[in-house]
Amino acid sequence: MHEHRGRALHDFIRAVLLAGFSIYIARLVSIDKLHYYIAPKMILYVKLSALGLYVLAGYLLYSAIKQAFAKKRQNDCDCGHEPPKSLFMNVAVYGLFALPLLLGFAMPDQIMGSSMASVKGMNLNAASAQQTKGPSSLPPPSPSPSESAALPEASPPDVAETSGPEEDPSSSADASKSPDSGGAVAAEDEESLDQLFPADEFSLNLAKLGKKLYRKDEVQVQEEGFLEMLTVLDMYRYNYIGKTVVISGFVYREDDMGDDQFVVARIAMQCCSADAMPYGFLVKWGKGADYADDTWITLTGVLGLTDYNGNEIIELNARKITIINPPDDPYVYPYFDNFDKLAGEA
Amino acid sequence: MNLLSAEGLGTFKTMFISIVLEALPFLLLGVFVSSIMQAFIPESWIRRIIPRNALLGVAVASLLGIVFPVCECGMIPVVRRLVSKGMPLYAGVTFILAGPIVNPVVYSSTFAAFQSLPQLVYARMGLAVAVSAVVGLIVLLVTKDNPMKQANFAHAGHSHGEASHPAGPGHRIEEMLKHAGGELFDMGKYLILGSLITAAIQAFIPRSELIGIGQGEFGSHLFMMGFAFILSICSTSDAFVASSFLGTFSVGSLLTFLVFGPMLDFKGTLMLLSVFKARFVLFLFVVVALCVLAGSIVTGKLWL
Repeated sequence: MHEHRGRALHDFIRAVLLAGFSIYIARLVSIDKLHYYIAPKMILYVKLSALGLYVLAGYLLYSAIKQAFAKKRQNDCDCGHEPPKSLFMNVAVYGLFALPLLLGFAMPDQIMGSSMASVKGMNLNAASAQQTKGPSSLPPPSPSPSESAALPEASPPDVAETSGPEEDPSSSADASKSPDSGGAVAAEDEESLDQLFPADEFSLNLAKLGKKLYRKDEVQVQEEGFLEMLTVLDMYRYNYIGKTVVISGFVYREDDMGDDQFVVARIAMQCCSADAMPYGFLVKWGKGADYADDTWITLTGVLGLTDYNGNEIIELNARKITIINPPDDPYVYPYFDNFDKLAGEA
Repeated sequence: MNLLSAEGLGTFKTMFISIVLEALPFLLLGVFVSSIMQAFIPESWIRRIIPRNALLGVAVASLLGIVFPVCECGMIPVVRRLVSKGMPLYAGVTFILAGPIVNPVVYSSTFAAFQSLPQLVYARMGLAVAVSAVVGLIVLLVTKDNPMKQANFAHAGHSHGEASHPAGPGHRIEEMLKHAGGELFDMGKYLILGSLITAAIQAFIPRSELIGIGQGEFGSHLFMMGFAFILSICSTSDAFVASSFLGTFSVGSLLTFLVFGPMLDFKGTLMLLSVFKARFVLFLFVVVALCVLAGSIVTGKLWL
């Protein structure tokens, strides 16, 4: 019977496929685009996998050759790993394995930007999107504008999963609202600062950072800790009205935004593109139409609040916009270092 | 839906490759560990470990995966052999359910996928132990006759690690590699298919449409159970698929996905049917589904 030669063919095809994956990963590393797909933390493990795949491919090739020239059938491991008999199934399965390779080699490696943001939905309320448990004195969480239904994100504490945005939860939220619409509450001593920045056990870090930022003339939002900074600014937004903010990101707009409106955003990645989410601020700039989608800019603006699709969000009134080159690594990642560094200290 | 626009396809391709690459290290790790176990560890060890007392028995069985991590595909043939050689049925069932989840490889991959949400990781482990123990006890109390299909026990007499086997270490290594290759393709196909479907959902269906399902009280859980069943992704990598739905689906429903999937999915059910009688599998299915649903709704409300 040709069984052992059939087996040899299977092993050969498998060896080729596994080697293909190994080579694909190696190629991404050599053109330095692996981080387009996975977060930096995981890069080492993916490289190690490429090695593992290479070893397996090598063994399968050896096994294929051995069986092709064998006089009689090798003992199979008899553990349920025999390939299926039908041609259709085999073509389907090997085709499935070949698919990511084909797509990977044939299509260009893209940075995710506006197109992904429009499908996933732009988050203009970083605080509500990030909080899984937050202090009950948060101003009411509001969903991002591209959602058609007004629903909270990953379960804020006492909200049942089906309810819409909560009513204003407690009096401390009122205490942090500015007395007049123009400026932030002026409070310098620790105690009144504590009142402005209520926190529970999960957000102590954020509250501490918030107080430090409050004391600054200008808030610089860097790549490191981007999402955390946005969360703080959004969580305690009432305290930052009138503050100058410097931020970099790509331009994004929704269909219903006017000529003088767009969003400056970045994509935040936890572990891989699949869980990546876009976060940003709405920007008001008279000549907004000058900036095409996905243009990278650095923007200096004054923080204010506005209503967008029924939600209260931060809006930056732009004072200065500079076009910049897209950074080598356009994504932002969770920040695990000392939060004091984000305030420019420590 | 920006179906098949050039941009949509680009996003799809990026996400598809991304999930596959992310999950690959864990898939490989699971395959290698399972293959090492198959080739080097005799089953007689496992049989001796389960205590006689039923409560202790399910407790040990539910935690056994920590010491003997076997991917869910390798799990069922192993347990079949164990039960036929004296392991009590209820302990075997508990091990089948908990083993694919409560082990170091799955723990670390879940942790990697949900960095900002460690509570979900602990909840996954805890709920898996609880559900598997409860179901095991129910099986003990309710099952009267042996639900295993008689049978094909004379399967070519090839038993791993037993004395009859020609045992040089070189031979064992080759055996391990052979297993690893086979298992990689067996399980890899589900990973790639699952990533394909997930990437398509993520790239082409606007989030706003998913959110309606994702926030419903029961609806989100039921959807996630159905989704997990169909996807049949190996438990070492399913966390990455789940994490792509963070923010769209409630955390409780993600927990359902992460616990129900490895216990009962399409391919696992097929394998169970090859070992147990259909009525028993149906019974198991219903009990597990109810326990997971109840458990994750409660956990979601109280803790997540």
